[in-house]
Amino acid sequence: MDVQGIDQVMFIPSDIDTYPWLRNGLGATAACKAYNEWAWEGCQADPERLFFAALLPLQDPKGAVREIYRVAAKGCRVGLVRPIDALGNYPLQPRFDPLWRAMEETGMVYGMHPFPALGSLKPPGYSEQHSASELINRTVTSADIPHSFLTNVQNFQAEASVWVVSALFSGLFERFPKLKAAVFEASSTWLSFVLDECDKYYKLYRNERRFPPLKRLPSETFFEHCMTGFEGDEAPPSRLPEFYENILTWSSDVYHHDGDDVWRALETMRGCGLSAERQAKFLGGNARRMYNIPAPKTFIRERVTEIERPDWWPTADEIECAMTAEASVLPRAEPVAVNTFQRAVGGSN
Amino acid sequence: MATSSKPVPKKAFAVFDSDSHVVEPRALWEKYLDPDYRALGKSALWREEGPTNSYLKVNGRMFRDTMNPNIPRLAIWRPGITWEQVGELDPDIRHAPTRGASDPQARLADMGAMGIDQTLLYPTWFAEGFHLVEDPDVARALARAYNDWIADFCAAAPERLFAAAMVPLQNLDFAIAELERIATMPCFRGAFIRPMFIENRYFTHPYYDPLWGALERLGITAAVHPATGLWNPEWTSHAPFIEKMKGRLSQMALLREAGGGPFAGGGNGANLGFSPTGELGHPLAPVISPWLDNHMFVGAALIGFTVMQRYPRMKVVMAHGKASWMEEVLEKMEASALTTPLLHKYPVRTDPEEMWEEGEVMLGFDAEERLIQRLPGDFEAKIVWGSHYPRQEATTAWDAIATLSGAGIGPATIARMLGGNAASQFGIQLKQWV
Repeated sequence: MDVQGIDQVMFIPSDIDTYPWLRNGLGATAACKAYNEWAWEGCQADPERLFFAALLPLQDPKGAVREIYRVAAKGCRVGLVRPIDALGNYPLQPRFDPLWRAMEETGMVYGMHPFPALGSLKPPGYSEQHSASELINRTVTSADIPHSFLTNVQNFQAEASVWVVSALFSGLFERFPKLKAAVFEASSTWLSFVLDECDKYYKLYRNERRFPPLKRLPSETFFEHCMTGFEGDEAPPSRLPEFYENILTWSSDVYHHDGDDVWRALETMRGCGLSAERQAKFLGGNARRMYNIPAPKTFIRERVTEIERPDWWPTADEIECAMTAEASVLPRAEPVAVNTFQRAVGGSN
Repeated sequence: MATSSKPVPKKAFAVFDSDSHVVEPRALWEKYLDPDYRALGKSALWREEGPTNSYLKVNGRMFRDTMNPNIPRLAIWRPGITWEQVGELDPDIRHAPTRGASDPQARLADMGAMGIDQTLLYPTWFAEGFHLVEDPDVARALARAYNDWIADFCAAAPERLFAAAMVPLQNLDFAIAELERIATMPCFRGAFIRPMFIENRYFTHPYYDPLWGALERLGITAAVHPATGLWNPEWTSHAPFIEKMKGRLSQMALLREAGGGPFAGGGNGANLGFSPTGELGHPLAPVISPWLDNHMFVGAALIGFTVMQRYPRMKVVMAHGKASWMEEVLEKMEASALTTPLLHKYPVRTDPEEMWEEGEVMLGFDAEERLIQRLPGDFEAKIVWGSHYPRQEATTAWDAIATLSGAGIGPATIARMLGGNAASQFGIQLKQWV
């Protein structure tokens, strides 16, 4: 964190694709509690800097409510929910209302975290689509080519956007007016048109809506109740600062392979002419306000430039070789057809 | 009599509407479809709109309307109506579909009112169901019927009305033969491609390589347009899953069951619970599924699976799915290229931004997109405007010009976004009538 320029962090578990598939409710509650205890203990190393988001077992709504109160008493600010339909538990159904009530009462934030839908613990024979991002996986698996290139590009936005639209149209935040929600790891550019689309379609379908009418437009609700993380897409929101001003919270995504640091984020934002005041909001102010976390007493001011690398660290030449187009070609027993290969390396019909 | 003091809008350039629709009439099946295929064709794909029930029939199976058939939202917009007014239409009385959806003269009159000089026409019911037709021979016959009908539609004004041709992708030989046939017909400026899974296969599959090759060779633009997907089974596009989740919003299961829902691949779909409000009452998919469907096509097929790289002269227009997301895609793609092994049968470029810059792909946009209003220079070479006529969310060229001008975008850039780009992408001569 010191090298990355990060003063405070909200931890998210990586194994967010498996626990929704635990079929035993008590077991799921126990697993979430075990993770939450471990995460809380880890944060005690520096409670001013380290915070954790708690896993909640939707398989057992009563267990989840108990866990919300339990972890809130330990200072946890966020209850994590994966926006998928694993075992039919999409987290916006009325039977989960007691969870959101508990979040309101404890001040805990509804942390909506999407993920690539790997479905590693999906039960055999489960043939239904459980995530908006499964189609992206199928573009790979149906193509006879092993290619995970796309797993970071759309998976997150697909899950997150379905949740955002569903939550806003359902009136969730009108039924639970004190509830706040954080949209994690889904980038932010899509919000600049999706919220407008929500407003448009709310007007268009007003005469057919059977839920109670909304008191405000969907976008107004989002701006009041929600925030969104952004990582790797610092440029677009920096150019629409008035739209994103109070709803953006920066993420590093470390230690995932596409993680990043504050210094690069600052370079990008400064390069787009974003004011220092707004940089401070995006990089910490908004998050602290949402999670009710005080600013640390001291914070990192200078970049660490001398970093010790292990022996296996790739050289600049090795990186350059890995970036050539030909580096991606799978070793084959037989050569690719000549005309196809020629086309691929720049030849034409 | 009071006179309106509102100034008559004017413009100094031709507007090409890159995204408008026809609604296929019964005559397409009854007159244009090869008589040998009429019975089979009507079983394979048919839109029924009756006084008491409406459905799309695909392969003999009915996908019933989940929306109120009194308001034909895919053909309800007409000049002068606002989105708010659409939302105030009485849902208990039958509203007639817009005449211009199926009548070329009415279409031309509406185009005049909208400030539109020329347009590319996409299907409606063929968009929803054609690619699900299982029998390739029937699909070929239906494609020919559609193309013959729309060619006659466009003949009403050959310099103003153009079309995306239906292509029977169920059999690539049939598809290429039809492409070669319509390539000689001047009204066809694109080949309609719906970004969806067909036979559980996506456009990332090498099966489609001959299609891209033919489009590139024949100089036909890939006119990619998502459908609503509201009449389709799960796993074909993003919409069915979104609608299933919409159902969850009111699912208060007395007895818990796993999954289910309309068009689900498993589970019994039964809601055994009581819900005081009933369902939401309208679809949610139209809000985001066009963007997600197009986003996936660009990311997966064009960039990730090297279609754009291997067929660099193939022109593509991605209609109806917004455009401002592309900035984020390119940032993410660049990061992915750096961190994720690009295992492939062909070399894969790791500079997606440069490839996008060089490439022949354009995205359909809406004037209200904030990022485009803020950064017109970033987008102006890569976007084409579309009205979405006659769908409920349609806008006019006058609206678009006013919005973009209000954002400080100059007339030359607006002219490019609303006409020049489309002209180059679809290979048409821009002409101004309005």
